[in-house]
Amino acid sequence: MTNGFSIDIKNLTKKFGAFTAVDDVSFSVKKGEIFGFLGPNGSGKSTTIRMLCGLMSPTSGTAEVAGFDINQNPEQVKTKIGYMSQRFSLYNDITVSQNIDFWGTLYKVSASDLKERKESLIADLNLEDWKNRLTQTLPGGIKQRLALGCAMLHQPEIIFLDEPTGGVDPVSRRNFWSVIDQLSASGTTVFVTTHFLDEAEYCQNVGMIYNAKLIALGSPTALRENTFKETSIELDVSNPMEAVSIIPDHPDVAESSIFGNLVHAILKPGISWSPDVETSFRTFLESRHLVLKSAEPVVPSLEDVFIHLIDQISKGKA
Amino acid sequence: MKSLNFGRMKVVALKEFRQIGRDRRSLGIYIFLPIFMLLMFGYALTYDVKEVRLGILDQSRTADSREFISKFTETEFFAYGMTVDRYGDADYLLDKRIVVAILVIPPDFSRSILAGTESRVQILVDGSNANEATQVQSYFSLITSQFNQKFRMDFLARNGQNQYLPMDIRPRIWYNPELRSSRYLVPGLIVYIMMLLAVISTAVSIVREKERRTLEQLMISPIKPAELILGKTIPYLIISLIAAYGILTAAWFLFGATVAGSHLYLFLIVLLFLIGALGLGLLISTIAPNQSVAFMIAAFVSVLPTILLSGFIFPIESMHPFLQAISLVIPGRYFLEALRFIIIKGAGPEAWWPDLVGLIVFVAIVLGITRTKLNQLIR
Repeated sequence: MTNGFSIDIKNLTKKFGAFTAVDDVSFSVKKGEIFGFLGPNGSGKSTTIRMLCGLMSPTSGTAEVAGFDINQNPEQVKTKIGYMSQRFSLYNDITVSQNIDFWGTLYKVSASDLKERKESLIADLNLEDWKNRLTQTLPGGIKQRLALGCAMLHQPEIIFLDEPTGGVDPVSRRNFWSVIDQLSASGTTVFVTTHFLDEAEYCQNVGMIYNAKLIALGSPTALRENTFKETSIELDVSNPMEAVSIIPDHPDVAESSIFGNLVHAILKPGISWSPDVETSFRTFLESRHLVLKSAEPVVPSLEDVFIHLIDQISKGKA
Repeated sequence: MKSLNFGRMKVVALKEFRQIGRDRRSLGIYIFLPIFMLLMFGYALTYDVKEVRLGILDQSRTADSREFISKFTETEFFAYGMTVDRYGDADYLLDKRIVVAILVIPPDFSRSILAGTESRVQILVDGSNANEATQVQSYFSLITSQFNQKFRMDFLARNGQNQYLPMDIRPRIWYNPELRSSRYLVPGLIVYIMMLLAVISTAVSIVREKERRTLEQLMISPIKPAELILGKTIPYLIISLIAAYGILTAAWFLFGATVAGSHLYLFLIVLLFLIGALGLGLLISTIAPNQSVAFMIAAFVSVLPTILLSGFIFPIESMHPFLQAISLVIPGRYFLEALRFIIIKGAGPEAWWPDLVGLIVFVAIVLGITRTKLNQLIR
């Protein structure tokens, strides 16, 4: 770990027969970083995590996780990492306290450390009155925090969170992300997968995987700037369905898409948003009997970035 | 292979016990089913016929006829039901099952005997339960022939001749002198309960972890597969052993049935079979996608053939040759045979070594396949 990376992946590939689940993926994650790993279901996200956690060996390529090679020392890797998934909700039919003891003992946390960490976990989550109750009686948000606590009992260097906020209410989701921030601040590397692309904004760096390939890598800001060199504007038009097919005829527009009740338009390279351009849009639409209610430039979301990249890939294929 | 961590194994086993303790439905199966079945088989489902209600139509009404009747009513097989007045009532009484059999003694009973001519005594039996009817018939023949014998000897003695019998049958039944079905059923019950506990509950408990995704979490932890498997199966091994000895104790307490043979051999055979049964449960858990499928497969491959084809209820010798051939691959058959040798006959290994070989082959095959399957699952 002399290079300061917690995770260092080189040409990682996994094939199941003729099907390639992960195709030549390389990237690295710095110590203490929050890294978001994004991609639709079936894109190779889970397979990558399974390899990094030592559950599955790669067909070719390698990765170093917490300083250990996943091919040579998968057992060492397992002692250095924590793992929590959305679907993992502890054992529901034993008590909170018994769950903590169970997972702590599995990770060989010494009895005195376990006692201390258990007390602080229970205090942090305000579970003093709940510790001898069945885990299934806990509300969803608390249960998920408890699951994270159990996955952190052995103080791992890296925590893998697989869709951690799925099925959790928005307030709990926000709280959960502040816990993730705290973990990162205390030096734990957080590797998180999510398909809520808005959550990826909380990450310092993100990697996007699509059809087994890594299609983008970098900070959210850098990804936005590199992907959209052109200005994007949001238009509120009287008839958005009609407008979206007309707007590309405007001389300054490269492409347009519908976004809820609004229309998004990407301007041609070199053209930026100005009152003159806005006036030309208004006139252009009025000549087609449409009313422009408002228009303003938008900062593209990571979702826009992702959709744009996928579009380009499918265009490239066609 | 590095050494196993006992602490991790213990914590898994402890968790399993806690979950079993919390799961009322399973607890019911583990505790009440063996007791219920023992009582059912011991008392209700006995094949022994006892105290058959006997109607008596005595048209002779002499000392001889009364003596003959008392030969029936003083056994435990027949109980005095009622006196029947007219032959015409027989139909109604048997139909309504007020009596199960009617003994008809003709008016010339004493006269014929004294005259040295044959007297025709009749027994009318309700044949709706074939087993019962057959037994009534054979008891009837037995009692009548004893009466005949005694009568002939008296006759000879009166005429000053030697009291001589060409043949005297003295039946002695070995191993199960009272011919009690309950005693015979104890080994079968042990086989049945072992299959139920070890195979079904092991399979279901592992598939449950798969379904609830806790298995994935366990695999990511540093626990070794062997620690996990032992930690998960040992509780079921212990519960199954308790159930087996619980049945033996209850059978002794309720029916006075004891183990005739070596307790050490008994324990070893039970343990050997349990290892195979737990392995079978594990194997099913690697195949089944969810708990209900696991339950179905486990019931289908373990409990069902054990009831039908192991000789538990239907004797193997009287099966169709095709079914006899199938029973050769039913592990419960070998276990049951060995248990009957040890528990009922008190026989040593010289009697049941073929069954031991059958069991060892079963355990070896199951563990071999399970090992391969588990390796596929883990990697």
